[in-house]
Amino acid sequence: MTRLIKRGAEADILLGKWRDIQAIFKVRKSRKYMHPELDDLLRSQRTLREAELIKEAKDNGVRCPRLYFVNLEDSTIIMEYVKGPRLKDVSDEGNTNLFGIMGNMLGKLHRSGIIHGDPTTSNFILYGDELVVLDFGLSFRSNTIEDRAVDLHLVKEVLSGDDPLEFRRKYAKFLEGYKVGFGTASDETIGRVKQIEKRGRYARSSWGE
Amino acid sequence: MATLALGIESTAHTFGASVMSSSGKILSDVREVYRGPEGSGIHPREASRHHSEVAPGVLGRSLREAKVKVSDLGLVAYSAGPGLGPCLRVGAVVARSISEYYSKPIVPVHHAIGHIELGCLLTGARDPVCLLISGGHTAILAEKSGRWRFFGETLDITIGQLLDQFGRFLGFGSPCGPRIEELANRGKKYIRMPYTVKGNDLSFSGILTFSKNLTKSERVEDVAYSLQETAFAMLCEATERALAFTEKKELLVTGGVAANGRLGAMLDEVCTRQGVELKVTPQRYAGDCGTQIAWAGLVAKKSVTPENAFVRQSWRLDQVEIA
Repeated sequence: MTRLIKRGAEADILLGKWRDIQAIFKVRKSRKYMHPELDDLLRSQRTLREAELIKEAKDNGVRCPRLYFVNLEDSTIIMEYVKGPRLKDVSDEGNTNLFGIMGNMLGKLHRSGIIHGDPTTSNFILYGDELVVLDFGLSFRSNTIEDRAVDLHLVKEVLSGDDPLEFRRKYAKFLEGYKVGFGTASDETIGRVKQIEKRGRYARSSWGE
Repeated sequence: MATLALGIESTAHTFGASVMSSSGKILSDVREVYRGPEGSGIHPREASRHHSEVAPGVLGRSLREAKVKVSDLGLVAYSAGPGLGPCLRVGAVVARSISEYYSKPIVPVHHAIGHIELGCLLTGARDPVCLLISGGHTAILAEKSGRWRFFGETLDITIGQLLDQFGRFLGFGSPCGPRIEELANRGKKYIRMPYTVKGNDLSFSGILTFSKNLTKSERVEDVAYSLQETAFAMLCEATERALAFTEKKELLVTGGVAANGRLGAMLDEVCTRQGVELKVTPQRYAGDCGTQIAWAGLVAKKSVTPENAFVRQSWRLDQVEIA
């Protein structure tokens, strides 16, 4: 009936049928290495929060998978099957400006008080001609500059895996989109990212680089 | 012909000297560890004094055990950072003196690269995700485009510092990991603690404060148990996510905290879930030692002139180009 398509760290992603339509089953399975109490708590808390935040994101005009059903008993969310390549694996050559759109989406989320928590390029899917943001498993509500900036820092970290020139181009596009999505007060958040980097371990090089 | 390298380690509590061959053979590994009074950590000045006192003896023993003369050496590698300034300088002075007097190439080594390179050599890991857990580092790394990239790291204190600082609070001497593990093994009750994973980065400082306060009302065994369960679960979760993201097939664990039995069992389970091979650096070589530095020096082979053989107290791992 259902088929495993991805064994994540957070949950298993299964493809199956929900009332005759193809659907994704996100199942947070028990992690035996964790203390059972901690495991149960994290699983049910995250399932509920994820479902709530997907709904809120959608209400605020951010394209994410549609929710079909949430079952807290077995920590499962059943949702729309978004089929397509990950932004990580897509070339953004041409006029598509995918990183700008990614920035715009994250900006809109932040404006709605939602921090994604794991905004990697694996979590943005190109679905037809639209970009869909997935995995609200580590998302939470916040309106602080700090939390928003940590989200941007994570984007920067993921993009910096590329070569430096590519990284600069993509991140610049991302920020352009972010400013539009978030609105006028985004500069303060973008500025905070630098501060966060400096706090990293051994970030202040002894040779002043 | 195989090259012989002398590696000198003096980053923190350990002064070590080792001779290694470029064929991968460890000819000697001698070390002396500074121990502060119970309940206190590493005092940089006292530790560096310790290192200066033991340096000649350690060096002599290392060469004798390896049955080599200084003139046989192909290069001298030293741990150039990151670490405690006064301690690093002792190792650098020793390395510069030998290099200058005997005209040997001198290679500065990033301490953490030493941990990783030796771990790869001894476990046979080729392209692993690396979990580096020590007093100086807590990071999840993988090689990409010629550098070790961070796929998660601590945002504040390291896992080693968490164990040490909590241990010292209880009156133990550093390193406290084994004492905490012993206590935790006798713990029964799980107490909820701050569980902080941001993206794939971790924060342990909340657990430290929380644990200290908790000792007023709970059995210290239960606190140690809960501290380990919580902090290790965070490490495992972030590691598992990095494995899933990078799709690599090996996990290399290295650093002093790799010796913890409970963490080892948890990581074993993580690797089974992800279909990944777990490779743990043998305990003797997981902590700080000259062998790591000798091997990393042989791998890097990038020598500098003695007047440029500095130390860097603060030096990020992802700034180093690897071979």
